[in-house]
Parts: sequence; structure tokens; C-alpha cells
Amino acid sequence: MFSLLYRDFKILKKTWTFYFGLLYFLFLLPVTQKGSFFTQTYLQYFLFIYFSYLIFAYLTAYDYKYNALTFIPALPITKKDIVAARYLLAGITFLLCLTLQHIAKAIILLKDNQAIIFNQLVNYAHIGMIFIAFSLFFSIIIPLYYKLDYQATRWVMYIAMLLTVAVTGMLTGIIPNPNQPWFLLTALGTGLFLLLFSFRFSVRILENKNL
Amino acid sequence: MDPVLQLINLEKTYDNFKLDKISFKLERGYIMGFIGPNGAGKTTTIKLILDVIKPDGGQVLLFGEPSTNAIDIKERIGFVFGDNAFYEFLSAKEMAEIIARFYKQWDWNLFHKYMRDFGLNIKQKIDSYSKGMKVKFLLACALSHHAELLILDEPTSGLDPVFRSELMEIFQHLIAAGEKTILFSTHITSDLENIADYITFINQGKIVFSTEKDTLLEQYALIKGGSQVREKIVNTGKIQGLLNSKVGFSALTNERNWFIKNQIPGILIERASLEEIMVHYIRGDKENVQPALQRL
Repeated sequence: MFSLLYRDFKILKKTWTFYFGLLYFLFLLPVTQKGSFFTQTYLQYFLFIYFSYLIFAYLTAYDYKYNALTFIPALPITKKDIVAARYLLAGITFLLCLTLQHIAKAIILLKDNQAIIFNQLVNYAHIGMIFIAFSLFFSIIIPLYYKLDYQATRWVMYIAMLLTVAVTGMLTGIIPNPNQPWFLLTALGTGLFLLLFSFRFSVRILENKNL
Repeated sequence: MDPVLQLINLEKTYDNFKLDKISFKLERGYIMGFIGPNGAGKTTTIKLILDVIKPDGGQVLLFGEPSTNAIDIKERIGFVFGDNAFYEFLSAKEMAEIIARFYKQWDWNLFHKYMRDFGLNIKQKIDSYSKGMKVKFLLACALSHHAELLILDEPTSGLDPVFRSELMEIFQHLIAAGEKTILFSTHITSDLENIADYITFINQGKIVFSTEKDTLLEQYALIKGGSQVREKIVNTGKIQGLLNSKVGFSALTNERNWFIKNQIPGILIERASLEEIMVHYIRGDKENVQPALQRL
């Protein structure tokens, strides 16, 4: 499985896709600075999901172009590992985006001469919502990708991304006082359940797919 | 000792194609030519062997063990897909670094040796290689983890005759030590005339024959003659395929000795090449041959 992550890393490095991370960070700075509901929720969720989507879309596009779904399973690796590597990469992207978001937030705090304290930096509601949005998006997209291939899913990916952001943005407005540890734990549990269910589904699809 | 590769009643059904209970085996140290026209089921069979797709029935045994989810067994296999040279925007070195991580037995010294032997620049991007160079690169990757079984899917397709003959020499050299086994799928049968030990012929998802090449070329013959003896030849019931022309006919038989012994006047008995065998089987006039066979 780690051989596949190494392959993904090589492709992202070679195709300059890593620089999307820098762009994402540059976009985050002004977005984080403005404190309106819209910028704090919709726009941040959108940027988060969009950056994760770009990484996934680039890799799947290269797999499609170079017929990797045929030659990778011929290597000494199981299809379960192939699928697991995709989910693991999504998880790494999540952590990377989250780290960048918090770095952006810390910079803004420092710029406003405020101390960087845990309560100001970490927002349980924000992390929880983003995780739900993220897991919802990838739980739908990855099995769809294995079922229908890149060509058929690329537009679905866009629609799913916008829907996910809209749904989670609305949830933020509905749930009363979500900035609590219980909310984060519930969000993590729900998200992980979705991802686990989706993972098992994707493995089944790939194992039965006529590549 | 178990055969390196054994297919037992392997089945796979698609909407418009069926691989119909195919069986054959390949012993260690031999080259098997896997021939058939485009769309006959060669690539599907290879994908089943490599566990890329799941069979609907039957079994693939590699080194005596079932191939499903067998990572350790795949370590002992090298493959070349003629139409696929991995991620071509990477350099050969970068791609090899990716491939190397999948194999415990990957040998960088061996890889560099093959790259040198094949005249390939390791720093060059794969997409700047010619078609033949890409095949050589794939072959270097397939050989650099000490694979015992090489599975080659149309490696010579689209290559010029000089490059093809060079590749054949490489295969012959590889097989000389007797440790490697090669399954070589192709529709360019002339590539196999000199190097293959066994020939397996697949047509429309069914195995027509799987036998030693020398026996095959001994048994099969082309019977040629004018249209006046055509009926007589067909009525022998020993014809597998018949091609008609304006001046006569050309018929394929797998009972060459019978025709030599019976000396039918007005015919010419010639050795059949693999290509001729394949063409007569596929294009042979079934309307004329079948009634004769049914009378048997």
C-alpha cells in the first residue's frame, strides 16, 4: 500500500500538483481574516474540499490516461490495498489541509497581536464540519470512480463537491453551539463510519470490475 | 514438478464475448506462443492469469498454487503489456523507482545492466522513447526482480522487423539458461517460428490447440490444387480450413502423413507456417468444410 502512496507522491511532485497547496494557503489567508458567516463556513469548506478534490482528480486522471487500473493490479499487490491507498491519500490530504488552515489562522492571530492559545486556534465545530464534508465527499466519489471510471465521474465530482459544501454549511447554521468536544467526536465517528462503509464498497467494486 | 502455469477450464463472460473453459499448461524453461487474431481472448486470458480480472469459472495455477490474491506468487512474475509503458511522463529512473517498491527481490544492479544492454538512457523520459525502446524498458523492469515467469502481451505489435528480431534474440538468450519461462502472446506468428517451444492457439474464446510447435508443424500441411480436385479433398473429412481462389484452393489439414501416404493426384502438399495455420482456421471456408466433417 505504501508503494502506491509513493507512486502518488512521485506523480504529484512531477506534475507540480503540490503547488496547489501553496495556492490553497494563499487563498486561505484572506478568507480566514474575514469573520463573516459566509467566509468562515461556505468558502473555507469549499476551498478545503476543492483542494482535496484537485489532488484526487489529478491522480485519477493520470491513472485513466496511462491505464494504471490495468497494470497496477498486475503488480504484487491486492485490490484491497489499491483501494486502501486511495483512502489513505485522502486522509493525508485532509490532515495537510487542516494543518494549512491552522497555520493560516495562527498567522492571522499573530498579525493582530493576539496570543496563540488553543481555544482561539482550534474550533471543534469547524474541524467536525469539515471532516463530515470531507468524508461525505470521498465516501461518494471513490466508489463512484471505481464503478464508472474517471471520465464518467469527473462532472459528478464537481456536483458532489458543491452539494457537500452546501449541506455542511447549512448544518453549521442549524446545529446549536457545535463548538464542543462532543460534536467533534460525533463528527469523527460519523465520518469514519461513512469512510469505512465506502471503503468496503469500493473494494467489492474493484474486485469484480472488468479492467 | 508442477507446471509454472496451468489454466483449468477458465471461463469469463462479457456482453459480447465469452472465454469458454480454456485449459493449457506451460512447463518450466519453455517459451509458449499464445496466438490468435485480435479479439480472440488473448489479453483477457492474460488478465485472468495476472489476477487483474476475476474468472467466472475455472482456475489459474501459478507454480502449482491458485493465483487469486497471491502476492508472493506475483513476485515471481514479470509482465509486459505491449500497449502500456506505465506513466510515460516520468523518466525511466523515476518509473523504475516506483516499480521497485512493489518487489522485494528488485535488483538495481540487474536493472542498470539491462538498461545498458538494451541501450536505454535511464534519465530519459519514457514518452521520448520509441515504441521498441518502451518495450525494452518494460522488459528490463519485468526482468529486474528475478521473475521466473514472463508474461508478454503483444510486445512486438507495431514494431519494425529489425526491432522484432532483436527482441526475439533477447528472449532466446533469456530462455537459454532454462530457468525462465515465457508466455508470449502475439498475432504476429512469424515471431514465434524460431523461438517458441509450444503453441497455444485461441480463436473466439476457445482453445483450438495447445501443443509442441515441432509436432504441430509436422502434423499440419497445406494441400493445394486446382478446382477439379477440390471436392475430393474436402470429402476426405481431414480438412480444417479451406481458402478458395480463382485458380484453385488451399486447404489446411492436420493429417499431413495421411495425404503423403495416399498420394491423391493433382495436389501439392506443403508445410504450413503458423500464420497459414491461423489464417486457414479463421478464414477457412467453413461452408465447404463443415458438411464434409459432418459426414464422418
